[in-house]
Amino acid sequence: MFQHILVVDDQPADQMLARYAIRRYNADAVIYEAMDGVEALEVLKSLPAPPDIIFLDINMPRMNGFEFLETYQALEAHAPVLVMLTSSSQDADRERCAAFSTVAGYETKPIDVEMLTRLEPLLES
Amino acid sequence: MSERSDSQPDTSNAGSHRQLLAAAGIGLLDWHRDESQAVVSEQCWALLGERPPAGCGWADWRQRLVCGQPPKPWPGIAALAPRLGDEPVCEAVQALRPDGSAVALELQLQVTVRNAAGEPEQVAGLVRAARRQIEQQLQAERRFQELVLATMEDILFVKDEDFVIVQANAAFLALYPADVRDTVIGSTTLEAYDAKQRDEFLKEDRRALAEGFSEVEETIFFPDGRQRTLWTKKTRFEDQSGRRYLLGYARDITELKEAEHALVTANSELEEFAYRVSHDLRSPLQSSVHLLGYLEAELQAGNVKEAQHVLATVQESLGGLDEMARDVLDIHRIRHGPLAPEKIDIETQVQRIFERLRPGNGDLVLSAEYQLHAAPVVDAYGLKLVLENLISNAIKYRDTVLPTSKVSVTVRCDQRYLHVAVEDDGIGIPVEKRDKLFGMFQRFHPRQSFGSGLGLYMTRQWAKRMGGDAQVQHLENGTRFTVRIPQQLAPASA
Repeated sequence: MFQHILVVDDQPADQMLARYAIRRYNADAVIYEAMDGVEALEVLKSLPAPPDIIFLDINMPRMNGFEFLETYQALEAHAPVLVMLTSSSQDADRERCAAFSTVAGYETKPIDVEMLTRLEPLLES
Repeated sequence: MSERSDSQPDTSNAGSHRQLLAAAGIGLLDWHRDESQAVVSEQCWALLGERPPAGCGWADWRQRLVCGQPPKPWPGIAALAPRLGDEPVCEAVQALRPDGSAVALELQLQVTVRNAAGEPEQVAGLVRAARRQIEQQLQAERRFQELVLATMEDILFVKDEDFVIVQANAAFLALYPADVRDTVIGSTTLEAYDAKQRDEFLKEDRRALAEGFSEVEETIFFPDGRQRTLWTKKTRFEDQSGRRYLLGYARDITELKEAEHALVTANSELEEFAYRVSHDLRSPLQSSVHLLGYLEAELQAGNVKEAQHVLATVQESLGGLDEMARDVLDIHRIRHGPLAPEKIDIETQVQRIFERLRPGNGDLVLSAEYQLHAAPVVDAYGLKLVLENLISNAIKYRDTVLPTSKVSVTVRCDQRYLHVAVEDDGIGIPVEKRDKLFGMFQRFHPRQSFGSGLGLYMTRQWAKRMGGDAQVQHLENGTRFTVRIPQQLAPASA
């Protein structure tokens, strides 16, 4: 079960949806929130160990999802990154993300309990 | 002289001489006092643009000749007898063609046999087009050539093997400042260009000389300071003495390339726009629908405070959607809608925006300064949008660490333009994002604002449509945006 989850999304509504889903999935989970790539890197730097999983939005101000992945890829310790798409038809975004080995998959918003349970095999890797 | 048939290849010396004479456009005549024996060569007829009748008869040919002004029948060789000596004598005549036009000819006559009385018995002669006529013809052709060269907008030049320009048309010379134009022919002009361009020119010249042809699209900084894009072709040719030259032809495709660039930009903007609109419009709707489900659950569980929190988030999300929809419509109106030139009371407009956007806590100083001679006449709707955008940005992105922030608006008019500057001492734009500042959907500060990211794009698009521009200066502490637009928008451009 995921215990430490980082959600990177600039939309307060999406952050709130993620909080609801994660609390239902695991009431004890620790949720880290970042509004863009810059904040996400700051959060990651402040943690003693990488989170279990990162949910990453693409369209964000200042540092978007792609720019975050470029910097994050170069860091030593990695958590699997789930790229969160608004619709399943964002093929161009998938193609751009495919270049990053830290990307574990693509999911369509919003995060829900079923999605979190389904992704648990990532904990073993 | 006897007539020969052209049907067989002529390998004799006489044949070779005849071919040489024909190539030189020279006809021969062999006159006898008994004119029934006199003949002319085929070339004499060719000078009239005709094929010879059977026998190349002298009688037929001489009947075409006239002389004097007004033209009278040519009296013939017998009448010239007193003038004819052992040295060649020149006789200017005109030959009439069947269509009535005339050809000026020059006869060069010399007595070859005299009778006992010393009178000419036989006369040999050369017949050729009068030199003056050839020269006139050449001159006319040259004038026509010059007219074509001067009229064409494309660039034409000839360079020799040492890359010296030996010929150039007006369009080529116009690339150089007026005071050096008369030195262009006879020089390489390479010294007028920087080393990199020089190397490029020479590379293409050498390629064309070696391979016979070169073709290149080149952006050139000309000596008069202009930057143009040319499509240049160079073709090698040789003159009579075998010296090699390059004929250069260039077409100015600057406007074409600019239009192409604008089209590519517009297309990629459109793609970005479609992508972002579909994402940014759908995302808040999708989130709100899901959040309303949670809201219902919270209400059913009696968690009013949590329900209010969800409701506020939904309202914020839908509010952002509304703002984006408005901005998209505004962009359309600003780019394609009708313009309404209007006399603007800009001071009142700025004050109203200040009043509406001023935060209540008093930690912000808003000031404005005006230097206006008369009320500007501009597109009122666009100006209001731009002022609102710039002032609200300056307020939104103020540095909250400072005890007091300042936003100042300066408005001034010169003879042509209205200049509006909005300066703040706020958090500024991250260095790595500055080049995208006026692009679509650009947001730089995730926690300060949830706008559409279209405000500055809209500002520049409007300013450009007005015939002006929008610029930014990144200050040590803060940012200064300046919009410059014509201060009198002509009704015709509406």
